[in-house]
Amino acid sequence: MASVLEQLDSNEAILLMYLANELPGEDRAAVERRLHADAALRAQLDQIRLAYASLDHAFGRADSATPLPSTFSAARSFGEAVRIAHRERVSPSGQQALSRRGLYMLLYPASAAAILAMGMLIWWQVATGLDESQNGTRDARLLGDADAGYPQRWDNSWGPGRGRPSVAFNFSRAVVGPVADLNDEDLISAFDSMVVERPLGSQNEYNVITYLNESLQ
Amino acid sequence: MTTHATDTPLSLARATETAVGLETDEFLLGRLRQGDAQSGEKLVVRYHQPLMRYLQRVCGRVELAEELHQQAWLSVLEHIEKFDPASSGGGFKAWLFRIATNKANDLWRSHGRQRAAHDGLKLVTDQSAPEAGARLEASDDEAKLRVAIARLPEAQRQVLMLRYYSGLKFAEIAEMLGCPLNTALGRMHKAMVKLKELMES
Repeated sequence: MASVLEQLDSNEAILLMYLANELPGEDRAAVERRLHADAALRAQLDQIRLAYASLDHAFGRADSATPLPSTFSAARSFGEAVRIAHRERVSPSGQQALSRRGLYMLLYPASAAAILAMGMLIWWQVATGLDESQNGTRDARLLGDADAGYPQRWDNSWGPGRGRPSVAFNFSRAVVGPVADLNDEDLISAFDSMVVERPLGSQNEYNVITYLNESLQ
Repeated sequence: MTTHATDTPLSLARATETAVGLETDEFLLGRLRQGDAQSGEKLVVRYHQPLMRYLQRVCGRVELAEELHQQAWLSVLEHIEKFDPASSGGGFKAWLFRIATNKANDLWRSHGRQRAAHDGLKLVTDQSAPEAGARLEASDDEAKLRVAIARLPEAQRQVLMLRYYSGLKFAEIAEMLGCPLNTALGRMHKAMVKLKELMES
């Protein structure tokens, strides 16, 4: 193994390590031999030692003039944080809270992905001219499936640039539901609340996703 | 707990270490992992003075240092399961100071230019007309040291403060800061020379 001394490229570095007593025995002895033979190196060592002492004095005086915040209250605050963290870890409700927190952490990327996918869907609708009035047969089956699974009590009106609520609902069921661990019942309940809280006339994709995201946090 | 043989006067951390009880950091850490709040409190007490002083000198403001101190300990609590004393040179103390240094660096980065401008202004006002509160609280020496430390480049300041307040070995400091040993020693030497000049000017 290479000696520490060989790794040091300046006298200052060597002397700092020597003064700090961080050189292995052989290296230390080598430095002492050099110091014995070299007056300039000894002078350099004295300078560094003096600088150390001067700073030590300055730091000591400055520290004694600067009051420290209470050690007791810092320790108590940390102790309290430990107790809370431990309670959360061991109690069932704490574990539930932790798992919910994990769920919420998943919801952000899931919602972002969902919004992105919705954007692409809308773009696709516009790009391909998916409009029932113009192209009634194209994808009618898909829309029919979406409408069939969409509860009748909700508004399913739609129009260009607004999206179709039944499609949004099915999308939530397929994408958001599995990620957020929500079954159909949860989603229907969330939609029910949304219709009451946000009478927007039409639950388009964007509203659906943002509402689910907000209401689940 | 790690002990450091040093014959330099920069030994606040050594004095702190000899003053504490028989329980090692690793022992207290093991208890803390099991949720023993008292062991956590003991660790906070053990490192309160060197860590607070370090943060005070690195960030220059008492209230900020207090906040960073709290953040550092919460981070210890959050990542305690990941800490492996065997793979971490310098043991718990090095890990704690690394966390505190990272917190200080985050603060440094987040403040960015606004902070630099503020510090520049602070230097000028500190030199010409210190605040009334500061005049009462701190001696001239303290104010002079504070201004001198603020003038050191960040990298030099960190090495100097870590060495003085944590008492970690230079090799451990170099590892913590991710730089070669030579670089850490060079920064230390430059910081000492510059600080001495500033204090004497």
